[in-house]
Amino acid sequence: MLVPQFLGQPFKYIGKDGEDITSKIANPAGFILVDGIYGLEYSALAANPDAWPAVYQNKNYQNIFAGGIAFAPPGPISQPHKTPNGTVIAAAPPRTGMVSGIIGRIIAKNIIDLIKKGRMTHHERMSEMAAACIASMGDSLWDGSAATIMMYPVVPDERKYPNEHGRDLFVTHMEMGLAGAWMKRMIHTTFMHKLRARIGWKIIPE
Amino acid sequence: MEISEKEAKRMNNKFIQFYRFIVLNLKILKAVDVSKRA
Repeated sequence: MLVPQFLGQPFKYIGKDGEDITSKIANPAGFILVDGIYGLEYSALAANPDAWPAVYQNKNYQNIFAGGIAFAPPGPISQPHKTPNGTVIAAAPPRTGMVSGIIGRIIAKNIIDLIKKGRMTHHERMSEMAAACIASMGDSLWDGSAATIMMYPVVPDERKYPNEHGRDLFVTHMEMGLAGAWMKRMIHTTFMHKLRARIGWKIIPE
Repeated sequence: MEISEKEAKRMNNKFIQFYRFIVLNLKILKAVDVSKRA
């Protein structure tokens, strides 16, 4: 899917003593810098999945966390390209939906850890994370349809999966059909169950 | 992408789609099992 570049809010961050600390908190696009390794070329980033953030905490200000679309990814998840007129086409990692939920859980658990134990014990990089996306094309359980897209890991890890795609090829899959509409209904129902913190909500994936 | 008539029938065949529903669930279960979930 080709979409215009996402941008963060153009806030100016001011420190206690009045100095401009924007460059310590956000990248030029307005996304919050966290514990990833920034500034790597695509080839170096692809060879090092550990460059992706694990705890989503700002290195300069330990009370700032950024999850989902708010954190600055270290780079694209596939080889970037340029059109003949110079427009860069780079695949940004998907960070809404399931990925947001997972990162939100990690951050929430780590904040609890920091309060109770003084250290963080939860971490999950996008190169260790699975995600599913279901795009509905008709919600009828009889003749509806949906495209089901699954990826593991979200960011390719060529060390763990030394194939062409750097992903688990049993999990990573896309298909369209009525089964997708059933999946969508199942996910809606279980998500609302989780959101209401009903019995077993903790074991339901985001 | 154009969907052929044969493919459209397959996409709404209840038996095939029930099988695919089970397979998709197995894929999600494997993904959740092998991903870190820390």
